[in-house]
Amino acid sequence: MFAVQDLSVAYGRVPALSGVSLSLAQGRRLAVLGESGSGKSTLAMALCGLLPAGATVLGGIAFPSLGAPVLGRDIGVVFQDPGGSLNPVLTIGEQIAEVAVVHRGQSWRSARAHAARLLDRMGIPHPAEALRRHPHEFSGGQRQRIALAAALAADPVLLIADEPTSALDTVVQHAIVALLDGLVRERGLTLLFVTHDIALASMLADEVAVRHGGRLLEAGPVQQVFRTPAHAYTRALLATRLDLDTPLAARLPEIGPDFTVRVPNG
Amino acid sequence: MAEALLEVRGLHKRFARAGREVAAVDGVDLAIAAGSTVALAGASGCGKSTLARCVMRLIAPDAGTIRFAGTDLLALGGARLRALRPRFQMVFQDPSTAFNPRATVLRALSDPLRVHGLAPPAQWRARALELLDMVRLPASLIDRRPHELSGGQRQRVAIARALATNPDLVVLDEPVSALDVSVRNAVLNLLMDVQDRTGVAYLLISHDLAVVRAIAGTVAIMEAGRIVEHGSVTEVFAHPGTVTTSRLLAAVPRLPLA
Amino acid sequence: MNVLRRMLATGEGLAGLAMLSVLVAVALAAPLLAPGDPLAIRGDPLLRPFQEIAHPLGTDRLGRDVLSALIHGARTSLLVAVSAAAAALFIGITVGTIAGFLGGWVDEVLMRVAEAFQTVPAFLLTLALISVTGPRATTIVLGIAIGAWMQPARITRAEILSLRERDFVAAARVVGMRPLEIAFREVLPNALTPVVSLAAVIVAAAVLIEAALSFLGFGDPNRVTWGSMIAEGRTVLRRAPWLSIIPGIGLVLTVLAVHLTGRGIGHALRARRVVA
Repeated sequence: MFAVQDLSVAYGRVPALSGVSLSLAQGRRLAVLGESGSGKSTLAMALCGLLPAGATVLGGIAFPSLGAPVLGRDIGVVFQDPGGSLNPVLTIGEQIAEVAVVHRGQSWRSARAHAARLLDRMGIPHPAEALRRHPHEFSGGQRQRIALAAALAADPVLLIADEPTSALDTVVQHAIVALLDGLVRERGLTLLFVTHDIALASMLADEVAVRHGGRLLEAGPVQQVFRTPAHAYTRALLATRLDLDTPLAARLPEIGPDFTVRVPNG
Repeated sequence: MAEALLEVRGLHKRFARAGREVAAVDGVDLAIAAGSTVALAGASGCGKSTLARCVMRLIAPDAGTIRFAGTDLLALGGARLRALRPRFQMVFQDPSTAFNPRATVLRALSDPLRVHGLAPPAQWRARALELLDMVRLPASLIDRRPHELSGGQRQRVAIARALATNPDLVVLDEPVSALDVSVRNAVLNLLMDVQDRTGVAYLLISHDLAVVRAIAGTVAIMEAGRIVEHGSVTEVFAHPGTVTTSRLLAAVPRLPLA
Repeated sequence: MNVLRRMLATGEGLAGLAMLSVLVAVALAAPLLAPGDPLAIRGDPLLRPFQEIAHPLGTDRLGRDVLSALIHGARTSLLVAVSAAAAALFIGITVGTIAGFLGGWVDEVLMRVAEAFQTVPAFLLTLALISVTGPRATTIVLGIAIGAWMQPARITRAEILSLRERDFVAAARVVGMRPLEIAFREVLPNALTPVVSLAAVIVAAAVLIEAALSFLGFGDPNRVTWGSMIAEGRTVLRRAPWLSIIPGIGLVLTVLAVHLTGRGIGHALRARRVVA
């Protein structure tokens, strides 16, 4: 689907990504796992061609099966902040239908019907009525589903999602993950998503690329990377993951210098 | 049993939304004993943040009572409310918006001292350094501005600010959900350390039951403005009595590989 | 200082600031560059520019030196315009902050008052005030400010409204600060950027209003101003057009310099926002 060759991105003199190579086959799901400052969002932006004007880019990104892909038509994008990608003054019907009109040459009439079907698929109640409403009338979780509907309206082959669930509560997160999972299976969509949540990566991806501080630490099939992590950072993330199975000691395990894991005395 | 530090009774708060009145908090009773941690858990929109902001007197409830340390909080206003503020503090969810972008760490930490006359100006810096040390941040950060700190550092400064007045209660509104996962546990450990040392009580607001389980003793599960289940964390998590609780438990992400 | 550097990096900012610096330097050094009373009669009337070395820009109807009037006029124009803009910003920012932060009926009343002021053209408002109080420098400044405070008030209010709901304002309340301290110490400094960009527009407008007032004879009679020079020259416009054109050029350059500087500042501040 795409191949990134030795890609480096810098903002002014500040390097954000250095020498990244990575590829993804059609229908596969890749999680880019990392924290703030790991360059994961820069990588997603670079793939969408949405880097800010001041960024210096070296290396290349190729889409062998797509040639020169068009954002919105061939690539759909969802961002962390579901409010940010929706226009507050347009109804959501206009926004979703516009994508289909512009990129698929549909008539407004059929595009609106298409939009209503998508909203229904995303689990938005009363889709026909919802089309006439504005983004602020929906909750955060609903807005993220609407943004997802808009990203999928032109039937893209690649979906890029930058922290699609981290602004949402766990219940909504859970639902969005199930939704994305279903979409990928049904439509044969290729998915690249960026996350800081190791559990999300393991639930939703086939492959994972672990990044830290602008560098790629390791990459491979999810099973392999998480079962036999090669890098101390990956091991530390796994060891300190907080969930309902975390043993209840006086204190929680912390990541120390050089990715060592320690449990402080309480 | 001694009187609770915080006692909320029959609290109601309605908001007008899209022309309709919506009950955000719909008759909530809640008590927190001194030195304990009570979690208020629920999905977004369940009213937990509204309740927290009512307790902090940031918004005014429509009905009900809030007693804090034996005082009727809702009867206070103006100067008398401000005089009580040092005793109940708050840590906000997103540390990137919780600080005046122009104020340095020193100013953020000395504001509570200045406002309440707790220390002469000559001692502000020393006291701020003590607070930084308490939240395990290096002294060199004292003259930085919020945007020059990492998310984890900012949240530690927010905790330090909340502790500056030696409060009896700190409301923690999703204290780790905006932080990188690798610093979350350290911040939670810090909160537990501080509680052991100072005996402060926490009201933890969270949608993540893994966080609740890590630091709270008691949990109240909220849905649609009401508390639907209430009890010790071990009890409620082991035997959830409502669908709301089961759904929240099921939604906690876990590693399928483990 | 970074703002200054970024501002100088834009062509507009550099050009504007260079021009403005020259004008300010000339205005400040007026007593040195053109000693003596600019209203005193110095030579033959209506000398053309570049005709006599003692009067490089010629003389007016009464034989007063045009160059020294121009230099002293710059002093009056800039002084009145900058003071008026400062007064307008002070009133506007104060009103806007109080309206935006307190909200409710206070906001309603203040904004209705601002609207009432805005329905009357600023120039007429100023004219009315001066015709009541008489043409003194302070009343001219105040008069111009009274006609110009509404826009800074609206912009400040809008910024404060958007900042008011931020968590850091709630945090300041939790800390126990008083409402006015929160409004002016915590919120206002974060709301100033767009208002500062507006300052240039107000200064430029004030330069023109001051000139127009003097032209109509409502200026301070004891000071030379570019407006009064143009008014003087009007009576002999056919025979001595330079008497009106020269101060006119002064006005155009001043307004241009202020505008360019303002745009440079605007760019620099926006750049900083993007970085932050």
